[in-house]
Amino acid sequence: MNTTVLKKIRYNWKMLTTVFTCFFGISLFFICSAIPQQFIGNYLHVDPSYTGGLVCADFVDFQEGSGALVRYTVHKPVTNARWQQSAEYWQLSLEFYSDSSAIRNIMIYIDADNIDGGSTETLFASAEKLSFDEEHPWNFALWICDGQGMLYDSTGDFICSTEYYSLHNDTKLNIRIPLHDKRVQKILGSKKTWHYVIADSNEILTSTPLEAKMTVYKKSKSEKAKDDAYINYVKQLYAESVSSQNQQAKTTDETLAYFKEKLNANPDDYVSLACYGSLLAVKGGESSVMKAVALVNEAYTYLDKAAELAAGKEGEIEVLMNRASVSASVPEQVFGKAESGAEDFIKIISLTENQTLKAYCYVMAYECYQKCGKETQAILALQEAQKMVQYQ
Amino acid sequence: MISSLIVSTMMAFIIFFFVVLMHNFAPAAILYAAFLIFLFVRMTFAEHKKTGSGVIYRRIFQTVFAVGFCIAFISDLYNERGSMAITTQAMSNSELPFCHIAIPQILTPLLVTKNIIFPARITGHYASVASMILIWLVCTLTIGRGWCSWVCFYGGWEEGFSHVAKKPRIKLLPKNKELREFHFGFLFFIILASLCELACIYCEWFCPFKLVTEFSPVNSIPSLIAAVMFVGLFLGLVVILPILTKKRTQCSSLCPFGAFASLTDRFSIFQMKIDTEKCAGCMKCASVCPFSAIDIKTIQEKKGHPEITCAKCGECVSVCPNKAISYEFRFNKKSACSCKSKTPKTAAGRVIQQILHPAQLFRFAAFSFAVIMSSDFMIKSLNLITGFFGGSK
Repeated sequence: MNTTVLKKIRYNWKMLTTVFTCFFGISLFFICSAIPQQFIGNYLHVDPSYTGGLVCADFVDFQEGSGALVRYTVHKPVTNARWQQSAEYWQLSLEFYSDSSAIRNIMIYIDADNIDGGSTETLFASAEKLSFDEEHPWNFALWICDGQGMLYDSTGDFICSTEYYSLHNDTKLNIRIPLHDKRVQKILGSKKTWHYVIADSNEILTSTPLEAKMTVYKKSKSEKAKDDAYINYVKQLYAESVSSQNQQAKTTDETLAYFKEKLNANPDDYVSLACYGSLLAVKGGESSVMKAVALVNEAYTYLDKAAELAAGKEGEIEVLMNRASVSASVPEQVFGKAESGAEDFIKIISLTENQTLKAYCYVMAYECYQKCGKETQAILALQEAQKMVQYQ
Repeated sequence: MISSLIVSTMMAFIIFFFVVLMHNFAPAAILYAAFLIFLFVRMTFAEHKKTGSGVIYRRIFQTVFAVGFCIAFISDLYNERGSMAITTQAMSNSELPFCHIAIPQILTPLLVTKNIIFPARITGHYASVASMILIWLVCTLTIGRGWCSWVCFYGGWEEGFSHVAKKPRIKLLPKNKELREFHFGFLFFIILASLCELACIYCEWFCPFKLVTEFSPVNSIPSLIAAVMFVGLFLGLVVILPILTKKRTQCSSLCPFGAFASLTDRFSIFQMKIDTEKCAGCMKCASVCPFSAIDIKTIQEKKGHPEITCAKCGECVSVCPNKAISYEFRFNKKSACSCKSKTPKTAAGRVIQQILHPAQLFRFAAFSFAVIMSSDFMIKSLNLITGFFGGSK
């Protein structure tokens, strides 16, 4: 092949890619941008000094009821932070099942391994019924009350006020202890700390202190792989239980026509409405992008109507399952339905006694919460799933 | 004519999908889509009639977008945190909106520390780090610095103000080179300072658009100094100087993203070409260039292309009496291939050639970006405006 032909091929190739990029590439990029975004997002991290520091210990436990503490996170102390109120601080995070505003007092007693002495008496004599572990007398007491935090030492002397941030509709509290005072600065040298967390004079965590290593904690690859394997296992289990109920396979259009006929006969047949809606979404998945968006939007009008009609009636599970499954599978970037999908799955759990279905719903809720960035809810959902069905 | 019709139809599809369909046929979406289609059709047909004459529609779009963006963005801030001020709450939870101007400031520290030195969301938001970095990457590979003149939601302010006066009161043309040198020097300073401080220095001290988006509350001497800087720079570089010079002074002297995009523009598909044989040296192009990208020397030395800071706005194309300036594919070097210069023999061939003309493709790509980037903000601001007037009745 001579150079002119090669040049011509190269030129035509460049021209072709340019034309494709300009006419279709940019639009396609924006339509599919969620996937590369997620991919890039896995490798990017905001500097820990902005976010409260790297996580040292994370205690997650599922307790229902307003004001129940579901997550307690100990961060690594931060130094030289920019754009923050205190350049040196130590952050503790508390997450609640729901609105924490009902809790008036939160007391956290902290023992650091490099500080001698300490106390086994509560800060306010009449306030708590907590017995401290003799091996871990507390060095600092953090009292959170009326939208502010105050730090005391073991002799009861006030050290400083802390930064207090209430987030996500009062379900999360971030407490930042400034490290200005020399007594608190000793935390920087601690290898381990122990935490007793009490709310409104009642124990909301065990009286055994939570042991937090002050080194950075990261979920290992094997732990992640184990979670993935469990998720696949539950999905497979559920698929097997459902496939035994399925009778015959029809094409999407045939099934759509069948349900359309049923809806013509009875427009308030909510199960048919839900099936019709989810089939429309399935059809959307098989269609061009332009058609898919229109079909999924249309699907939701049927799914929402079905959910409204089915509330509190027999067949609600099936209706909600249809809507939740659609919400879990449509692109989050375009439709933003992951959170409502997770809520539907959680609602199904409260309506069923079937353990496999419950585990499946928790697993799906985990995926939905992860999609919309609700990490704590995601972890909690996976933990609950693991309680329902054990991995074999 | 047919080529303009075909391209307009294709753009109408994009507008229909991203504006109307994605917003579920909302009245504001239909209204905005009609406006966009009107702009693109007018632009394309005007360009078909006379090269460069469609540039006015770009100006209208960018100015309208800048205002609409600010309205929608400020309303978002009020919904999220109750004010335009940056709250410690938002800061502590890494929820500040991330914009493209921060990109050159975070890249070097990212390489060194493997962390983003900006308290923003990484994903899951239109103003998240991953989203803006991806948009920047795609933009760099396609329209390059064309972002500044077609898509940038801040640039519209200067675009609008620079067309208020009929004639420039201050002529910056002899100082173009110094302006460019200052621009790149300032970028270097910002990158270095951001690396040393591990914080976005431009956002902290210099960004004039804090005034129309979000700002730090003034509660200390440094924050007062920063506030004075923001107000002064907005009034000086975004309002007064653009009116007096008819140039986009902030974009061509201070904006770190502008300078950075100029450096990365070599990876884009398009560039501007000056045909030195046709050029009569009238300097009309140099005097209208809003980005100070054409000097007396550029013309005298017959460089054949504008300087590195060219943002492909097309202003020079519209004023050139000899049609010496045009859009060109970067891979279209003089000796590359003889096939490109062939004149088609059939009518269909001529239509295809017109559709595949670099200017046509660039306009299409840039306007696609503009449509997609602006739709959410503009629809939101249209809803707010109609709600405001509807409510006040």
